[in-house]
Amino acid sequence: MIESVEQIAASPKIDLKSKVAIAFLLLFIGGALSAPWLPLPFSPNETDLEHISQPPWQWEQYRSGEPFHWLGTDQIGRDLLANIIFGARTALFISFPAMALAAVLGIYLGSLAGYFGDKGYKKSIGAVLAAIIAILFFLFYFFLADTSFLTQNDFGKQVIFKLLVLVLSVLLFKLLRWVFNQGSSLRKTISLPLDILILKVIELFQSVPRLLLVLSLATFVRPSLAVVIGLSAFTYWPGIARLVRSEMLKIKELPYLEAARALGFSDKQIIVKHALPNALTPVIIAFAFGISNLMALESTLSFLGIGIPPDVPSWGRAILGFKKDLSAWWLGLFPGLVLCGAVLSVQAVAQLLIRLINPK
Amino acid sequence: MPTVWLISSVVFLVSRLIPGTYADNFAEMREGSIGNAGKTMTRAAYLKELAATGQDKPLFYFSIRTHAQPDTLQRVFPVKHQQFLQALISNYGNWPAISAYYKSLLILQQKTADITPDASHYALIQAETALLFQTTEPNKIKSIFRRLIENTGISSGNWQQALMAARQNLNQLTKEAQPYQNLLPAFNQNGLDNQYHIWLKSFLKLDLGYSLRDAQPVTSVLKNTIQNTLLLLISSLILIFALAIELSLFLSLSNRRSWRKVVSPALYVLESIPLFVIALFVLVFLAGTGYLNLFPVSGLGTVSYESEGWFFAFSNRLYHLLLPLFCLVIASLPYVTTQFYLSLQQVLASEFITTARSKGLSEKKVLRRHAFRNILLPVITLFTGYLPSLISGAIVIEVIFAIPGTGRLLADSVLASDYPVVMGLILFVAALKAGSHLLADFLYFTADPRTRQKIT
Repeated sequence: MIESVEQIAASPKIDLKSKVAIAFLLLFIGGALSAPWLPLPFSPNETDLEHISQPPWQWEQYRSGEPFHWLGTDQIGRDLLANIIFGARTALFISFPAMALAAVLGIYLGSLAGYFGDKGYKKSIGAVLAAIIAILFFLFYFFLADTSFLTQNDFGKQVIFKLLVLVLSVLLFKLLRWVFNQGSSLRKTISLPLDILILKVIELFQSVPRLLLVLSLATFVRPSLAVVIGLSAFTYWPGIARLVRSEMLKIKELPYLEAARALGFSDKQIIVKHALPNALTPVIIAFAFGISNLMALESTLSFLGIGIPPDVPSWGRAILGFKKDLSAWWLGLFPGLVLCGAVLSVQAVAQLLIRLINPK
Repeated sequence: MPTVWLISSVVFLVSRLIPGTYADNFAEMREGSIGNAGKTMTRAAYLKELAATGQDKPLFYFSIRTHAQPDTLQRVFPVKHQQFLQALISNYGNWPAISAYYKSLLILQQKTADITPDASHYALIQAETALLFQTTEPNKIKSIFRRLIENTGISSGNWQQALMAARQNLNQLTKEAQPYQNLLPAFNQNGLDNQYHIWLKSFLKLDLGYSLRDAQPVTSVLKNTIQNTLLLLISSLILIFALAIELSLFLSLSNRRSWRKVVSPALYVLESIPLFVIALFVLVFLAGTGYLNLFPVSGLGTVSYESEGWFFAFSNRLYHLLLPLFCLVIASLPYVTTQFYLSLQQVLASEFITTARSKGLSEKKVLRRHAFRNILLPVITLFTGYLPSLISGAIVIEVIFAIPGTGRLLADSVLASDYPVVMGLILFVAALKAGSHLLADFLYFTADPRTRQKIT
């Protein structure tokens, strides 16, 4: 599907715009990943109270060997350059895992819905019952059961207990399924309407404005990066699921899948090895657009001060300084430019991908 | 509608399940309203408050808890003791024994309070008794008892008796400890008299409860803000669509090649800039004191309808809304225009357009009368589909321009975890969405004769 790197670089289809975008993106990722090891004179949360609201490029203050605020500082003396570079780190560390989570969830549910449809997913009543019981068992012992008299609040022991619960639930499911399938009336198969169920959930998620959903969920949890990642993944998976589902519906009808079925591959093998690789193209593109979307969402959230803790350096937080003091143009311009550049270059690369995969 | 029900139910249940969030806010609010009186709250007042907020009732129609867990723990006062009892339950699991031990401790506390302050070892007794309410390990408790007996020469019969009783109950407790009860599930049926049922009933009657921040009814809080948001949303929606239609028609004219080359990359770049960045720069350049000081920076003005006459008040409000409107339109225009442009191109490729052109109609006529009519359906679909992102945009815009609308209310309520207001806002958005769907159906009906035929 995608040729080797040299081929892509040599291909004439890459115009200047894409090259700039790729260069910016590499710079962005490189800066984000190596931020803690870069020779920055200031850390992003360090307040230099002697230089408050300092505009950029104050050369008269520059002395070699001494720390210098290249891009100026905000109202409490935080270095803007350090904040931009660490902000890139935050943007990357939020958008990438969130999108990856959303993609995994979306691909899983979308391919289930698309491949099996409403009638394809057949299980015996006994297996369904066993699954329900095992899930209830798991939920109770994982979340509700009070085990502190066994574990003495020791973290390692708690983890072992939870793992044990997981293993036991799986074993319980297998055992119950075997027991139930002994009875003939429980061996009858019913089809689970996976497509309708998953579509309804997708509809539910997409009918609410995303920002509203994230905000109202953020009402109840303490701000933290993990929460923001979780919430974003939670709100982005429906789009990917919908894409994968529609691709699956198309692929399902193709002759090669019928051949695979005729050869006796299991459903799992067919989905993972035969169908999904052909459904991935739109997912990759949606992934890229999702990342650019999420970077904007992340900075919007930190700009609003919701969900992201105030001590996390972020572009949105830097721009918030601009809102507080409208004469500090550098606080708006530089983070704004970097943010737009990141969003634009991710989108440009996504479009390049479309052209490379679909040369028309 | 099921969406609204599901989301508000989840918000409600989560808000009650997460410990501390709701009760703490409520207590804080009460404390604020009656000064310092809240600090010396008595058990009776606590129970009354629980009853007032409905929190003395079970949460849902049924509950699943461990076998050791009693269902009346939230009625114990002070709240600190609930944690103590919870720790005891985790360790011993036998609720009757725990409750007996706790009661004897309470008696001991009372008797300790009866001792005259000038008695010897008074401070020590106080401290050790208080410590009893934090210790769950049997050996530590026993050593506290030993110290109480050995180091204090109190011979007051009542106190000694209470101490002995507590000791005995502790022995009982350790002997009859059943920690495995923590691993047994218990299923309770709570009937209709539960918090969720009561909430749902009032929710269906559109009684949204009271804001946790200022104890005003949510409906009146919402009413003050909805007007402004609706004004912003509707006018921006109309503007966006009018401009996008004109722009896409303009770009579709065949002699506009050079325009297209300039406009479409510009739209593309504009689309990728987050709204709040656009808004801030618009704010600085058009309203900032250093640049073009053309527009007011924030707020909606202070003119009221009564004092200044309707027209003046309205135009004043519009003047304040111009800049926010401009931002919303700028941010939304690229996407909507691109969509229209693409569907116009699709229509322009079809055969009836060639026919129209070959009949010698002017390019404008072909576009407006033949092509445009055929993109009306996607236009209407986008009209409703675009609403969610416009609402998201309005949230950001209202925060930046300090417009007292629903978006700003939402941001503030989220920061204060004022969940009744958040829920009311969700309801408002859902209603908006339903209304837009209704409108879209009506527009389909008028725009496309085929939909009319089916009905009659």
